Amino acid sequence: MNLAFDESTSRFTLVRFQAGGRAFAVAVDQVRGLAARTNPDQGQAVAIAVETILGLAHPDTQPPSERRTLWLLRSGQPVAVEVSEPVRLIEVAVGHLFAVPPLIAARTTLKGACALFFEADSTEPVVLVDFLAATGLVAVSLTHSGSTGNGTD
Amino acid sequence: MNTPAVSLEQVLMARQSIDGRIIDVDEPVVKQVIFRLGHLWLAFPGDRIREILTDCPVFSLPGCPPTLEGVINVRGDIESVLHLGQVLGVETSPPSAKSRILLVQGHSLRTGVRVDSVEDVIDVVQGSIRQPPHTLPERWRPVVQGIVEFGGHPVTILDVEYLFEHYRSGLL
Repeated sequence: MNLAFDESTSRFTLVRFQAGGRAFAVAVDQVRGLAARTNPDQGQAVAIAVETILGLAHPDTQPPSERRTLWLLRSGQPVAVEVSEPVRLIEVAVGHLFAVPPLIAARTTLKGACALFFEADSTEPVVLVDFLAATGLVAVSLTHSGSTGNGTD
Repeated sequence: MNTPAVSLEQVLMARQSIDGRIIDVDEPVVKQVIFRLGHLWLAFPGDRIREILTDCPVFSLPGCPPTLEGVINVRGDIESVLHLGQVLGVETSPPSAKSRILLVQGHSLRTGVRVDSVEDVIDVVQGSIRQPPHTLPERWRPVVQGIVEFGGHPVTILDVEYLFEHYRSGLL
């Protein structure tokens, strides 16, 4: 997975979001944009819930107003994925990223988990996911119906 | 003085027979970390234990099975925490002040292991480690290295490599 790396600060730029009540992040390189939640009834793209892609057992219980559409890039094609607020750009120092421990990597049902980090204001680990490695994303691209995002907020 | 003549050799022989056993000081000893898990007395070979952690907050991760509690931050290193009771199917005590996390090093991986309490770290004469009894349940046999006595309790020594590799492969 490629990460946007600022050599001058030794930091990676990531997009952080919530899914299933937990904190996740994705490399900004895999994100094309962020938009309001898409509405298929208005002819907009069908966005698949990120919880489905990641293999989380429980769907997010956030109300629709708390959900956003993250436009990801897969093989150069935009793919709509629904995530929960707060969604924000963050920077993480190289030394603060940790590989997923081997037993967890072997036994977790979470798809695409590739690293962990802790935010300064929280003790909850944030899981860095690689959507290109998350197999569920293939199905998403097939349901994409044309509308694209507005660019990262 | 009218005392019976007793040679030094006789005295020593008599003492030896009272003592009952001869300790061969050259016999190798192995360190064992003895711990409790529910009603069981278990041990890991001491050379596999990097640290015994107390009061270490465990952070759960999404997607982990009940056998994996989550991760701990050990001075900047992130380690997984295995719930040994869940892995072995043993009912454990609720977390208490005596609960510990053993940081256990295998050949290819390291992980924290949750136990109910650590009882002692002892040197065991290698020759005193007994083979597991034939009555041991089938699923336990491969994971048991041997049995030692400690404080009147039989202590089961666990095979770290078997435990970790079979757990990683989903066979435990």
